[in-house]
Amino acid sequence: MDDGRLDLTPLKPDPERVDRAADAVLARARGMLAGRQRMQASVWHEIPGWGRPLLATAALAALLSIVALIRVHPAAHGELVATLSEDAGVPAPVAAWVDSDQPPDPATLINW
Amino acid sequence: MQAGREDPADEVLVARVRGGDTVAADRLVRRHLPLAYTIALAVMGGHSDADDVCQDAMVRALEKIDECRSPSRFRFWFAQIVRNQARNALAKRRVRSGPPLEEVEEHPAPGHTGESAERGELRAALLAALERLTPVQREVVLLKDLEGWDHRTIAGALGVSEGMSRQHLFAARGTLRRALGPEALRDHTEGHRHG
Repeated sequence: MDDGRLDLTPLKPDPERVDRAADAVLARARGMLAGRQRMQASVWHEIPGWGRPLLATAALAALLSIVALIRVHPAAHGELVATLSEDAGVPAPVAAWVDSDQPPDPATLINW
Repeated sequence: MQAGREDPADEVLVARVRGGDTVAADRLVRRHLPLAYTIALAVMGGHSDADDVCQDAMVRALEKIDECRSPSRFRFWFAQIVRNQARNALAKRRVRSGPPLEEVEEHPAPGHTGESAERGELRAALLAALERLTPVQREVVLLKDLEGWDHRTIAGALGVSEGMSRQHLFAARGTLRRALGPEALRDHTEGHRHG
């Protein structure tokens, strides 16, 4: 409710004037909009383009992993654990317990 | 702001324009250009240069549309661009020391020649009356009575309190009524009593 409202509609630009202005704006913005379209299109084309090298990289990584597993697997399990334990700085007796899969008896723990 | 399939909301149009959609740009431009004229009029006090200001502001808005952080509030963001553009144009005109607005408005632009004489007279009277207002009063009364914004929206757009917006409106309407006189007032207020 606003009884004091004034009719200022004569100040509105006539629709033809707005249409002309809109046409002029769109003509000036056409190049920019086309650039945006191109940019978006190139992004969508870029993604499938990356698919092939991505697949090739994944296949190579899988191949290398399989080869590494085949080369490691035949080695003696205990030897590998010992080597890893040594690398990690784990004492030899502890590594031996881990390797034997048996819990250490209390006497061994007390004496050690 | 509600919009159906026929009339997509601003945020939808802004998203499409960001992707270079010319149809969306067309709709956005035609929807908001009238507001640009209102703000240019409020800041500059006349229709002179308004076309250039409005077009430049709209082109700038389209170019910088990625910077519109709240697309649903596009009109407020755009209004600020128009305001800045109009102030710059005004400053340039003052530097150039061109003719005062009243003189410019006595010679209507070519686009106005097809309008009725009565409407032209009304507009001339209103423009002359608007010259008596401060820029902020002009903007408040134009946004309220021409664009139909509420005080909360106006206050947010202009960075003033709602109370100040009401005060500016009260003062602006009073000044316009005194400037236009009872004869013009009858013309300008009839049909709006339902408001």
